[in-house]
Amino acid sequence: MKTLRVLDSSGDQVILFDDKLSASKAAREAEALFTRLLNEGSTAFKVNRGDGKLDEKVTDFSVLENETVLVPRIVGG
Amino acid sequence: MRKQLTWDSQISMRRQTWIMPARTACTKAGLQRTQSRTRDIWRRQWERVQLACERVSDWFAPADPMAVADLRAKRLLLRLLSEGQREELNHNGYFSVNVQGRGVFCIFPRTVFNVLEVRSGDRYCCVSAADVPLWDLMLAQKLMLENDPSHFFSVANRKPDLVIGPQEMHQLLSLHARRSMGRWAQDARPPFST
Repeated sequence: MKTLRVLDSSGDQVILFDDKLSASKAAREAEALFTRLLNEGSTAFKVNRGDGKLDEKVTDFSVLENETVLVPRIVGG
Repeated sequence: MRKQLTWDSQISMRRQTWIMPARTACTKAGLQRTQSRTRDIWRRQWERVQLACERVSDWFAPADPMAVADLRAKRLLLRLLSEGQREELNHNGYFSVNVQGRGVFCIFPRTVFNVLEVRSGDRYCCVSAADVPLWDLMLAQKLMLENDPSHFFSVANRKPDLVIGPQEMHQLLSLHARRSMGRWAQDARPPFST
């Protein structure tokens, strides 16, 4: 089971999906959301990777690990 | 020999002897009658019950959504910070991020110009286009600085007006952090004091 966390006004929105069932509805919806948000300017990071691995920027849905944080588009303040 | 009185006659006698004169005296003295005082006591008790019910309903009612979002965001940030950054945030109210090739940057709990480059004293402002809690903004800034600094610096606005020495910098950082976190220590002295 993998987790997508989309940062929003409620803190974060959590989407859980099973990567083993790539054809499942939840996985397809998660992939569609991931793609749409990246196209809108969001940035995704693999976090909480374990074994001392550092966080990493990710752009491909197929290489997501256990937990991914989607940061909304950033602008200069 | 005393006459054996029935219950009714006893009540009647006592009513005539004690209760009626007492009521008359109370009325003359402007005092409330026993019945109305009892009603007041019950009214006050009922008000207390209603107040207790309101408190219980408040307890069960959903909390302020903004506060819930803030708490949720803070929990996520604390979980995703490294051990050192977490300790730094708990002790100083800010945490530092090591940006490859650029040095150390401090992220303060503020919404504008809250990213400070320690080496130069420059401040950067970069916010989320979506409305997110402050702790989510800090998390976003941390992730961007650590993993995609070129994108961060390409969009962030820079304000190069805070150039001071390292000793003063440390004092100022602590001061800013205490103010931002609302934990102003009584014994804290302003920076640059001799």
